[in-house]
Amino acid sequence: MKNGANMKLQICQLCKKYGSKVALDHFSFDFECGVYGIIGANGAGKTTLMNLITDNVKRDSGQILWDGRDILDLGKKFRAVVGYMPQQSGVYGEYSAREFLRYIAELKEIPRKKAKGQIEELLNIVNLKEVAHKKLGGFSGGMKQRVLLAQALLGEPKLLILDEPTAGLDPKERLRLRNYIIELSKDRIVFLTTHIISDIESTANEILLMKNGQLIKHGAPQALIAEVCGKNLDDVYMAYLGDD
Amino acid sequence: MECKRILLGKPFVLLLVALLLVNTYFFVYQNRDEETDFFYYRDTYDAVLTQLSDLSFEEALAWCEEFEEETNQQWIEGTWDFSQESAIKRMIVQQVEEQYAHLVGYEEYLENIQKNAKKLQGVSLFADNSSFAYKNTVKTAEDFASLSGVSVTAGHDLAVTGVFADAWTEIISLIPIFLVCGLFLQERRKGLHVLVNATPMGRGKLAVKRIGILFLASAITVLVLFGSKIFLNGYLYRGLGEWGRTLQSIPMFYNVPYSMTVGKFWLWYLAVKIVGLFFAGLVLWLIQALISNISAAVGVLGVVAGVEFAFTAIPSSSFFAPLRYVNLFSYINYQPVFTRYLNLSVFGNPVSGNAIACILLPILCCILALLLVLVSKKKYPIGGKRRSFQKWERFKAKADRTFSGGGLFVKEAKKLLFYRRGILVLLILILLLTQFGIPYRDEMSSDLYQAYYQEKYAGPITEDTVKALQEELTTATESEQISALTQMLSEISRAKDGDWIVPSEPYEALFTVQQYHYTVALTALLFLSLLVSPIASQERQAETVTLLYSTSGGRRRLWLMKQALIFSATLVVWFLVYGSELLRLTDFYGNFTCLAAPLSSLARVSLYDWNISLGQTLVLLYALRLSVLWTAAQFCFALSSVCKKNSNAVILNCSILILPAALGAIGSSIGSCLSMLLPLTVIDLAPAIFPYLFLFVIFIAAAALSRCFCKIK
Repeated sequence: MKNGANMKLQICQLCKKYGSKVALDHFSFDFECGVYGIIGANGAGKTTLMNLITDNVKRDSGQILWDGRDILDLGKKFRAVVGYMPQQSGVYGEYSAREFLRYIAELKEIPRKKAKGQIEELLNIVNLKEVAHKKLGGFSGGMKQRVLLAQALLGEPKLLILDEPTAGLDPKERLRLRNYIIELSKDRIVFLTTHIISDIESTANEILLMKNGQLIKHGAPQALIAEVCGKNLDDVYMAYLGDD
Repeated sequence: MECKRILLGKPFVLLLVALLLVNTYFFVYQNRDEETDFFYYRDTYDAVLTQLSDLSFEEALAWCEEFEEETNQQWIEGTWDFSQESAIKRMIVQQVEEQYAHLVGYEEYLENIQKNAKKLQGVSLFADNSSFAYKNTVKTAEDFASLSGVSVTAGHDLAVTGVFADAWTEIISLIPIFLVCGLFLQERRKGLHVLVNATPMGRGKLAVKRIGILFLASAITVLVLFGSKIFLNGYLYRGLGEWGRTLQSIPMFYNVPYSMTVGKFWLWYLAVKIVGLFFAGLVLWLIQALISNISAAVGVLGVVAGVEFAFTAIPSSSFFAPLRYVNLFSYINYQPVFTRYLNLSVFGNPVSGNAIACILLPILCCILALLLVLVSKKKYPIGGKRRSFQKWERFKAKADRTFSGGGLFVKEAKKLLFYRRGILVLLILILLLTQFGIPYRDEMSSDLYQAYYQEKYAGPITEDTVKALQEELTTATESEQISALTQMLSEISRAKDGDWIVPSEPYEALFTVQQYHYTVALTALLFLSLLVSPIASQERQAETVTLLYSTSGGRRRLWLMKQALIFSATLVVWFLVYGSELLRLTDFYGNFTCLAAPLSSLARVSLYDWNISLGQTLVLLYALRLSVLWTAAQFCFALSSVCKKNSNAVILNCSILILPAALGAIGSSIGSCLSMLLPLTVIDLAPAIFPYLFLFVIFIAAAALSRCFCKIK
């Protein structure tokens, strides 16, 4: 596995259908280090794309290549570089935040000593240090989101997939998170999907607009805004996806 | 509304129906366990009693003694037919003989109490009329004086005593009360406590209503579980029409100083059971109401139960002896309190243990109920951060940092045992196992001698052994001794080369096909299934599947860990169930000896025709049981993988794995064929290989299925 700026994720002609419904239609894109904001209406195929990248859903056709090799061939090796924060994921209500992170660290096969240090650091970053011993069942939605974000960051993944990471966070936490994501993106690929367009606008280097499982437009936020002569990404959204 | 929600709600009604079935199953088949044909046993018992009903007590007793003498003579003469019917009749006559001996001697027993009391008052130790000893002798004489002239009658004693043959009902009757208390606190778990507390009826008044509901639940539980048992027992032993008999007619109650009929006793017994169960419920509810943290509440409950149990061991002479009677366990299992006549010193005065228990029971209930109303009124749903709370929080944080480590296996085990309440399942299993009996073997009068000679001459059969046994026979004087030696010599004459004389009692008990083995197998399957059911469904219920599968170790490694866990769970259940079986068996029949002897040495056990030793047979037996249980666990894992909720997994596993086994255990051949019951007993299928090959295929298929579901969504 390569480190740093040379890594590359290539998606070629990726297709997925659920019965007769096309969820992803010949999606192709090459990703390098940076933050990629994926925008689309509900059912546009964002979550399917993320699930395909994490091999949680079986693809119908196409390829996903990590540094030139298919992720299905890489299997566990590929998953070792992925940090995934799924949308609407649950947690074990009986676990404390720290216990949950240790559990995920075990599953990510991070050496215990290293994991211990990382967990304490991440608990600080997501501002949960004080309540880390409390059961997740008693956490608010925003707190659970932060725990899920921390687990995604465990093991310093090279590919970070964040599905609605800012949902339920208060403005202060959202700002902290945005800054942290920008910091992370220096040497890794970060996927970001959210309905809060301002989060993407201030964080992403590149925006991907999806509609009916297809990539209809991509580009840097400012370039896209300029293209539609708008003021912000909301105008871009309305211009390309407004009829959805 | 609240009453309807709890008492007519699905959980309570379904649980009660399920417990009624379980209770009936245990009752009927535990009874059948003792004899292969319960109805023959019952009919013979009835026929003997009918035959003696026209005779006086003395004549009936003489008839029983004569019958026993006659059968002994048949033993000596070798004309005993060794049929099961004869053995059953002999056993019943011995039992009836005891009944009549009690009836004949009861008047004398009462007279002796009066005489002894007078005698004791003359002894210096008892002469001081202010001492407890003196007052106790006077009170004992007074209590039993009221019984003189009471007419005792013969009847179907088993129709009453059969109810107390086991303590299953006492244990399972607690479960609905636990459920009701759990339902009271449901709003706390669902986060509705604040809402309920804010309503005008949500505090004291709601508590009062719930106290009423708890009492009703106790009454319903007792009437359904104990009432059905009393009626069923009365019906099975044909004693329903005998509730007008004096209670003291039954030997079990000869020490009871209250003049009452059997019918009145049942009313009293049910009333005490209702209030006793209500008391247990109040204790549980109060602990839960006082302690918001469920784990801490369970811990405190465990301590309370432990202390209460320790109190049951207080000697009668101790100052604290009343605590033995005013005790949760005394109320749960009330019969020993009632049947034992014992006066305790209360401020130097003798008071009956039963009276102490019964007088204090309603008082304690009132106090607890009052406390519960107060707690409900005063306790805030959201606790303030007191100093002790802050200390507790600091302790929890420290403990969390220290103990949240461990490998994936430890974490998975912790999830299953502590978060999915697996530890509770195991504790209940241990509790149930303490109630299990031992497998029986066909007993004969000469068994004691046979056991003695088998022990004495244990080892390979040689000419010397045969000679020695023949010499023993020539010098034997007692009929049973002769019978035992004759039988041994006859078995030796049929023995193959290399066979041994083996102390065979534990082997015979273990290898006899009987109901006991089905009950044990069903228990093992049930508890293993309850333990393992949430193993994969918990991930789906918590909606963490996507997250876990996207990690590097979330697929194969996690599946392997779960495999290791189900094997460990199987090992624990196997060890508890069959380890305790071996303990009970060897405790009763003695150790398994002569392990190197060939299997053919066991003349009365001709199940196997394999050329292996007894030790190898035992290893094979228990290894097969372990592998069948492992297959069952594998099956549960596969089914759990397709369930989205833990409750669904439990229901699915019980429907597919346990229901046919339960039907098989009560005699359904289809149930036996469709379940793992027979392969698990092993002895039913001992020489057959095919069922085990079939189970091996199921094992592989189940493992493949669970692996498949742990691979991809």
